[in-house]
Amino acid sequence: MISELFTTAVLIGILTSGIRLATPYLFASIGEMFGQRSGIYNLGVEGIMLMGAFAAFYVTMTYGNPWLGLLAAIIVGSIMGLAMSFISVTLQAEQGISGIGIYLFGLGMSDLLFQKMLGTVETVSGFRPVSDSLNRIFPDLLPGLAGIPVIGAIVSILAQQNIMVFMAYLLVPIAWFIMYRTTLGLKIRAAGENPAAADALGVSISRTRYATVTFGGAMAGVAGASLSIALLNVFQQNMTSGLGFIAVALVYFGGWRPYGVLFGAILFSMVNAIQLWIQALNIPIPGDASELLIMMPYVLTIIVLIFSAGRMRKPSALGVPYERGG
Amino acid sequence: MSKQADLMEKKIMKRFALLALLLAFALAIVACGGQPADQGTTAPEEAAPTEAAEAPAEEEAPAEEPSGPFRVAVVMPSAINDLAFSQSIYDSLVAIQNQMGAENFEFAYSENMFVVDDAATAIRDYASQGYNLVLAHGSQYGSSLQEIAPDFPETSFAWGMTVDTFGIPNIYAYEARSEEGGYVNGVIAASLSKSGTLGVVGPIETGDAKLYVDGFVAGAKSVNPDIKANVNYIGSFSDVALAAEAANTQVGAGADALTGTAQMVVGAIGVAKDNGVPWFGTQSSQTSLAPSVVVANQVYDWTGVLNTIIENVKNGELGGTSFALTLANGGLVMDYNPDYALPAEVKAAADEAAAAIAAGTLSVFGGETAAPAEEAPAEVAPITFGMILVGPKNDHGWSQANYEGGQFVVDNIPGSNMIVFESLNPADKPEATVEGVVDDMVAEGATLIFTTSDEFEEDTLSVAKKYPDVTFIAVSGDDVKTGEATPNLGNLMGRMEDMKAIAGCAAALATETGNIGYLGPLINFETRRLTAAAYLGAKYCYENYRGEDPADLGFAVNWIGFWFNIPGVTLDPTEVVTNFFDTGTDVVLSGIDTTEAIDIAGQRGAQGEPVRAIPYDFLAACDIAPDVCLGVPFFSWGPSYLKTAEAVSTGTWQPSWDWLPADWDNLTDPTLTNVGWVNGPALTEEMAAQLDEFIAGMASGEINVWTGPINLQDGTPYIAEGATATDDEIWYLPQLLEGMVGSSQ
Repeated sequence: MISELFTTAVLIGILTSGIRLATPYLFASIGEMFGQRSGIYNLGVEGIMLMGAFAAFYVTMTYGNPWLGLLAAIIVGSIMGLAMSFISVTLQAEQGISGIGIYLFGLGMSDLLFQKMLGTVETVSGFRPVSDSLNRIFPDLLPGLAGIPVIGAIVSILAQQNIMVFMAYLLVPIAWFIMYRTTLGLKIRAAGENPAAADALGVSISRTRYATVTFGGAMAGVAGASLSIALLNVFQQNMTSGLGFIAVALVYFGGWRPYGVLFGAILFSMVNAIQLWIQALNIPIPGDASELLIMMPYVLTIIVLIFSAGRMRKPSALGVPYERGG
Repeated sequence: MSKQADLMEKKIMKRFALLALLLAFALAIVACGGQPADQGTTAPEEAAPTEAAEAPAEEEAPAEEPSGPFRVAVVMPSAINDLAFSQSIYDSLVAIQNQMGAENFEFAYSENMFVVDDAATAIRDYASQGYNLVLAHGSQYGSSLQEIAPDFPETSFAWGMTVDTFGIPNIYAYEARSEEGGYVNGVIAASLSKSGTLGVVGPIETGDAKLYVDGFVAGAKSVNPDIKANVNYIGSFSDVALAAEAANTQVGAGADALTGTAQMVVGAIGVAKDNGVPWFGTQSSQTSLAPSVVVANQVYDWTGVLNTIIENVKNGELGGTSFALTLANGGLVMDYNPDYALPAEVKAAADEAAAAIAAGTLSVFGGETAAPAEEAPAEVAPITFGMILVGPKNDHGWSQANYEGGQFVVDNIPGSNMIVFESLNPADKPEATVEGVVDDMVAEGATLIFTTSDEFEEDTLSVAKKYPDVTFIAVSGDDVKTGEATPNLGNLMGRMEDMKAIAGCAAALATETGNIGYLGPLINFETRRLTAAAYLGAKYCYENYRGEDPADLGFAVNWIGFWFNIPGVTLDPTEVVTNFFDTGTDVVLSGIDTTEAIDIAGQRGAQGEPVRAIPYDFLAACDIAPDVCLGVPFFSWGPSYLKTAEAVSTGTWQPSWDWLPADWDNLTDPTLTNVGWVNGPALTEEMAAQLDEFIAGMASGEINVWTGPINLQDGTPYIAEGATATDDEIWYLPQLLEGMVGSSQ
């Protein structure tokens, strides 16, 4: 029965799942948002995620330290972001096509490296749930908190997450601060709204765009790492499976605003978590079709898009290469 | 360096080429300063075929040379090391190469062909490069294969997971009965579970994934009917993250044993490992990924099926058959993780379930659930059976129909073996006897023997007494009905009378002279009742559709003396048919095993004479002379022979006398009906419409041509006015009927 969904245990489960599922989207979407606010959309997120996922996985496996793996993902992601910047800013290539090129490169290259360097699917010990270290340092803390009604539930949801989940959520207010409270944020927005005017005021459009797209690449790499060394601890070819494209869509969905992106990522992930739980609990659904449930996150996303379409405005210069005097 | 490492090396070179191509592509875009956006999508399509095309190009051995290595190419949707579907076929090909040696067996592969268009291009490339066998390892490739295969009639193709060969002669089909190992896994999981909740992570609710999951649930419920087996289908074969989260959800919902199928489950296995929850694998062994929690895997071993296909291809048989991996034929292997401490009694229960499924004594879905009917063969062990034919197996008539019935058994119970003895008759093989042939077949291991002529009926009975452990089927006999049969002897016959009535009707609709000829074999109960049925059908239609007086209808039977022409012994059927046509008869129905009626009618028709014929026994007999063919009543022994073989194989066979009715809704489908009728090209539209009406009437029971008054040939009343003939009255018809010309004894 549907009421089974509304027990404390299940609600905690849904929230835990939803929070976890949103993690890679947050990294990738926030990173992508910076690029788009400055005028460049990068469809290569998926490919960069794959490369980041592989780099993090391989380094973690080799050195046994997930922080090194994370660093590797940031480096590899930045390099690919830089490549995207070079193609789209310096060479002024059509952004959609060069993004697809980056995607295909990442897809093929991560597969090749996987075949050559690993050869088979393996697991790695990446970031553990924070409860592990908390229990080690403060053995009495979590059991003690668990008894308190609401706080206990919140603690149990959070304690099951790993450090990268927290980083993802922390990224949102940081992104908001940079975007709306710093000169850098102003430059980024100016480069995406009216590059000619910004240029006239001495803002280097190319340098700004290079920075945002490279940062976006780094974040996509981290998003991949969050899968391969934190959430799944596995690498497999094409493991992102379209996640990177959904991340790009979430930027539009979130109206190019950090909290909008956060809302979109959580909505999408929560609905996904709910459909997983509905199936897992054998709750009867009309027509007994699991396909209906699987569609839910996508259908809901489209509905929200329809109702919010009017209120969003995309950066005016998005997708337009900037040429001085042009 | 091994052949395999060599291939791997080439693979990697190709990938570099692909990358270079992509970079060049990106630069090209830059050079042009931006192009239409849709150009971008051509990149993957260009890249993948390049990859596929290069592999064959590097292998120089021409396929036509029989002494060269056997060359196989495989196109698969995911990676060769996916620990699942694609890896299973890759590992099997490597195993075959190790068996046969790299000098005798080469293979190439294209992996990650998740775009069907790319896969289709690769399949076509491999075919045009002269590979002997091209495997399309994914059900999504079926429609492409259907288009490609006819363009390469010399190349053999195989695809899975399915049983459908599209009726294309150079396509094999294969599938895995994954529910069998699923059941075994379910038994173990339920035995290990303390919480009473199991979790399942599936991709899309279809194909072998659904079979596996349903089998797992059935196995678990067999141990504990109250167990909760929660199933998550995540809607993707590749979304590792969602699969992992589904597993988390299952654990959160109380599951203390997990399983899942398809390549994205590696995410779920990671979760199982982190939570210390036992995991059950399928498709390939997943033990290496999580040795601490993987309990058992159902492994797909394609080597048996592939070896059979390769053997067939070498013998020039390029397709037309479908295969299934089962526990019984060793295609499904239960692989236990030696490092997992499985309690001995649980292992014993699993072994017992696997053995029972293999022996056919345990049906995974218990018969009452939604298991498709074709699944029955899965639990059946391969069987060796004998097929004794009165004529040659390619007579386009009775013997061929029987032979193809036997072939249907071989096709549906993979690994089965049919021993054929053709032309057992005094003219062709005067020294051979039923007993001698049966002796040989039993010595070769036959446990079931079909004797397919009423000529063999008496001998079959005596030889059945000699071999009480072998099952005999005397086709067209009545031993069981009369009570003479031993417990190991059964009878099968199709209710051909109904089809003969249709044939008679077609003849009556078509005749212009009002004279129909019947080319009869020898005279016995069977042939009398068939001939009479044809007459009754003709009479009904002559009266009701032609509006003529049935008394004016001429219906002459001429018996030649045996089932086919034996020069010097029988009348020559060619002479008989010629004589019919020369004396005012314009439609001849054949009642003999061979094709003279349609042969002669075809020759006469070609000279412009308005003659027609209706051949007999064999579905495709009209092909001999379509222009004069009104249709053909045929036997389809496949369904009944298969049922018999399955019953014998599983030890459930009981002797019976089966007079098998037509499947009226599928009258033209030899895989479903026991007897059938197909319209011939010589029927006009009007005739076909009237004939359809007649058939519909028979199907619904509105029309019964055996409704009295019916008198025997000598005028004796046989069926009273308003009564209908019983089965016995039809089966044991003592004479021809009043109105028919020809001898009754």
